[in-house]
Amino acid sequence: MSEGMRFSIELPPKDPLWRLQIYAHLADRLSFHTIWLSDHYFNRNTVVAASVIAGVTKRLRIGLGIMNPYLYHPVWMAQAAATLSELAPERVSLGIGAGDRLALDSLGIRQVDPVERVREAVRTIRETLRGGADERSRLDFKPWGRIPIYVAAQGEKLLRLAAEAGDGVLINSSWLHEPVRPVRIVREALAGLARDEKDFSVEMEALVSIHEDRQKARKTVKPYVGVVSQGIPQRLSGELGIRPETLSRIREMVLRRNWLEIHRVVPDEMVDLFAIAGNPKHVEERVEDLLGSGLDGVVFGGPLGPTPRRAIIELDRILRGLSR
Amino acid sequence: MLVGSVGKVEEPGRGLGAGGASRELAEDLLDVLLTTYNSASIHPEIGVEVARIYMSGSIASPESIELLLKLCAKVEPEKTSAILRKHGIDV
Repeated sequence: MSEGMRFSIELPPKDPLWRLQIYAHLADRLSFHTIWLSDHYFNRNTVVAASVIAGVTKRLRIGLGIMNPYLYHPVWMAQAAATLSELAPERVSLGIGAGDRLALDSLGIRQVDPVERVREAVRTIRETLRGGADERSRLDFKPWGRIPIYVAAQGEKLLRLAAEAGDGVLINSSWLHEPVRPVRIVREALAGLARDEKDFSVEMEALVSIHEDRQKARKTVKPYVGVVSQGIPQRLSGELGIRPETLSRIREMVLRRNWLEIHRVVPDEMVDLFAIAGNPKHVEERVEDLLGSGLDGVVFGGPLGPTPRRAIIELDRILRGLSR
Repeated sequence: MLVGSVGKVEEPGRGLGAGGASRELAEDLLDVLLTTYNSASIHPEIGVEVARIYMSGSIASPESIELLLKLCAKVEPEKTSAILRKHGIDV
């Protein structure tokens, strides 16, 4: 395992803010590096949730995102991150990606030229945070501390863009079955650009669900696995033997946000492809495997477990054990 | 439950000590509030109060347990009864 491996968690603001306060306060006192607040228009607002979390944490970094330039103007994202840094100086990170196509479709937004849109967004955000390209686009205040920009990536083009434009990459959980491949793409791109790897963090999101009852852990993660499955390219679903009609049934459930029933249509095999779900021993073994993939960090996302508070404590115990 | 696998769920700097039993009861009740699908029945101000007592370390005080019990009984009456039975409390 690499020296200084970063272990972070992702909290989707689907829960009321008071629950997020409890989880964040707990994580702040454990070994986690960053709390990422994922961004979905149907959940609570990410920036408001991040502000609330900033008020109950002292140490943890707070990651906004993944946000996307189809929903938010890059200057707005830079402004939000810079403002948040007044509540959490030196503790803010920003994640930019191309967005979830299904969610954008629901809002009538077409995901046109995703790589170029993300490239342009990262450039504009960086310029804005540095003081603006010109007088008109600058903020009238400065962020407290450097705000690293992570690029969320699934496909090869975005992985390469992350190496070119980002301070780090968050590799999509859909690569969990084969993490070495995206890591190699990013590291080769960094080498090609003569970028110092010490200035860049290669991290992967891993859906996780821990519980003594294996079946309960797996059932809990299935809605998240269902969402991830909708973002994978057709070629990959073919390679992985996922039937088009299965993806189609899941898509229906995701579109209707039928999270209570979706576990019926997400096959068990898909859980192991896109998530780490099971009892603590199983999770420990899978995480240990993942750490051999050349990553600098892992962001544990998804439900964390049927009882997230206990899952956070259990995950911390596992990670401390692996760090020894 | 995870409690069984990892022993006492203990957060950094907090010993269970003499208040261990009430702390475990409080944590069980707290987890009901954190996982119920019925969270919309918990007024945000009450939720923030639950977070405040958790963060202040007073979750296992008699007053806090009373509040947790009241809320749990409202949102998950069956689970609440089961937790009380698990802790040897007559319901």
